[in-house]
Amino acid sequence: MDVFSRRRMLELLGGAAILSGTLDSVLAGQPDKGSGAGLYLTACTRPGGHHGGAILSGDGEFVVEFELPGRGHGAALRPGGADAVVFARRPGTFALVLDPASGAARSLITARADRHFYGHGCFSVDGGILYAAENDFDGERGAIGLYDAKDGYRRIGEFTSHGIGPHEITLMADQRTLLVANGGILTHPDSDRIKLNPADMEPSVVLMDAADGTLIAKYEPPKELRQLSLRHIDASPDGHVVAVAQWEGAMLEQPPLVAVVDHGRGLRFNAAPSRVVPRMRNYCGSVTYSTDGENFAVSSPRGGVVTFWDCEGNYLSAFELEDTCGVAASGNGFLLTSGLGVVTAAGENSAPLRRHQGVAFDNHLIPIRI
Amino acid sequence: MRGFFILLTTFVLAWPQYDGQAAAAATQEPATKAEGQAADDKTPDVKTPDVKRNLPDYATIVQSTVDGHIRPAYGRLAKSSKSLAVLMEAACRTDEGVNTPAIAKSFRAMVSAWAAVQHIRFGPVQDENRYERIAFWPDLKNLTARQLKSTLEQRDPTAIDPDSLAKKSIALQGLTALERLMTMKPASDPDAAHYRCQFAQAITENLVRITSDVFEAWQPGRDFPRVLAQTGSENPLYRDQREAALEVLKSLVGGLQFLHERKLQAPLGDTVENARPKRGEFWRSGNALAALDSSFATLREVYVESGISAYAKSVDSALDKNLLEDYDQALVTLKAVNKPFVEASADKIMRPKLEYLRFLAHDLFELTSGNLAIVLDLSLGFNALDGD
Repeated sequence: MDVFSRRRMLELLGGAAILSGTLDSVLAGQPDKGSGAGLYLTACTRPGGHHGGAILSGDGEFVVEFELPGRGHGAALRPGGADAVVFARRPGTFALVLDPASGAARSLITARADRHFYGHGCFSVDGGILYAAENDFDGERGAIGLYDAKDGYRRIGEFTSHGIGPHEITLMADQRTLLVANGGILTHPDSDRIKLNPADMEPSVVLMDAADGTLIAKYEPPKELRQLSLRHIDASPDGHVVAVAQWEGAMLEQPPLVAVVDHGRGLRFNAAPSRVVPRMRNYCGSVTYSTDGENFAVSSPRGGVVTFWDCEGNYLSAFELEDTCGVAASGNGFLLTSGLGVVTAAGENSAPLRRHQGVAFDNHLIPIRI
Repeated sequence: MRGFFILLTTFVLAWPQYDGQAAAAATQEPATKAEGQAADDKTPDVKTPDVKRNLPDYATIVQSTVDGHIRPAYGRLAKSSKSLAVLMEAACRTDEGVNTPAIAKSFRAMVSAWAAVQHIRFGPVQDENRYERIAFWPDLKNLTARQLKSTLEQRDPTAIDPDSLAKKSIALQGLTALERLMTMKPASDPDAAHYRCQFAQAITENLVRITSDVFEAWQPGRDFPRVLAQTGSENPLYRDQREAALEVLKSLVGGLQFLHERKLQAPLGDTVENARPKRGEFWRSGNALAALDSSFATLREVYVESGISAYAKSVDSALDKNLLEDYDQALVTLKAVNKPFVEASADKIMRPKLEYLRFLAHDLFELTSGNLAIVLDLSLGFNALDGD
């Protein structure tokens, strides 16, 4: 982050400089819009490289929009809804804590000098600890940074990620197991995201004790699939786990991209039907279970398609939306966003739809109120 | 091959079209909450071309780019690699060292040939990490230096055999490692000099193999050119020629962005005081300007040889004129820079010329990713462009 944007950020922290008012005032001015229940949080970018984030309503309207010191990526909601945190896109070094009700900035977490964020994090069940996926780039290993949410998000320690390149992390429904997708790629922030070890990648799905970081299980793809960077992951309310990948191997090979965890056994890989496979372009950008955990949705922005699967990993269907990546569970389906400013519902008959001019919604969308 | 991969040869499948109809067919599978929906009645039309006209001939753009630019440029790279390897082999045999005038000249040709394909980040060069293995840059933490140091100190036998070198760190395999070997202090003793030469020789042989493989893989009839040419619903990468043409535009835009941000902005800094010229490319061997020249020239070549220029001229002649003038101005300006890059970036008379180059690179990037993309009715995307 440059000096200017840091100063700008500090100014924002001094007062709630929000572009479009507070949540209550916005909602007060809007009649009931029908099916658009729920609130969602995403990073977004406006022309000229103006990076920020937004809270969207379930029918795709902007509720509030806020600034970020750089390009954002994933976000986490503190249990109880007290705070939300938006993480910098890797190899960024900021995480903005904000009020999920108003979008007002509360504090700015800065990564340790020898760490950078990977773009994702999650909270402990009591909301006391924020876990952040980090890169110990000189040590060439992944780390999970621990921040005390009750003490101004002070960094109080870290766990190893038991792998390289931890990307998305989430807490499982048992509330004490931390789930980590280790992308397996060694990068250094000063080398422009160049991959240092693509020939011997070590992707893995790791389950660890959220209290002390003890390894519970580590699942790795078979040798011939080691170039699948397992970067995004989600857990369902009944303990299902899915991880989705980006293929770093030969462009014309088409490996399966979706892996469901068979607890105690390993990863079970599944491919979409051959007619859909090309649209996924060997690249999954985001994955999330439906609210009831029965299905999950996988976005593939390069091919402009979202695929839907049942919780056992059986392919169900596909939905096309150009440059789509953000996908979140909504009340009775999924809400999708795209880099072309589109917000739409999938899986409902009367899909509400908005297309916002001059805004690109970034990779991830999370529900902050269903 | 891996049995469960759907390989290229098997992508002839019986599914009609992945379009509205096809998506509707998907709904015949088990009904769920997340049901497939016909693309043409649910997917918003996110393309808003602001000009009513005939669309460009995307197939011709793709074919012309491959025939008139990509294949010849990779041919020159493979040829340069071979010349360099021959010279290095001879120099090592006669103990002349790794930096004879002939080698330096050949290395410069190789740098130019590499800069001429550096924007092509799709296709065979992506396989087996060939792109990064040809040149590992930028490298601000000096990983190459650190790894070279320990390799040289230990006289690591796996670094002087091209087979085993190909499996080592990408920072040791390509042009940036070779450049350091060529420009470091002379070796302290004959054994060290000999090892260094063998190492350099292994790098040049490794480069011959990589660049020849890429060139071969672009020959007509090979998998990747076929994938670009024969688009369709079963194609693993491109549904139609418009998507294939988007790959061409993306490489042009990506090349301009890399040229502006990495090759010019990063080393020049906002002012002369915060210039970091050693962030430039190939400055150690005095080839930064040669690389810049080749970058501007090759991106101009993409623009013209693809036929995009001719099409843009027919739709928006002012835009085409502006783009061509920017490229030409850059090439003329480079000829007037008569000091090495590192010196020039702090020189009263030369620095403004480099700053002008930076302006031109940025202008070309903005025009190409903005107006030109609209004229071509191609959307670069945001999440699709460089995801995470």
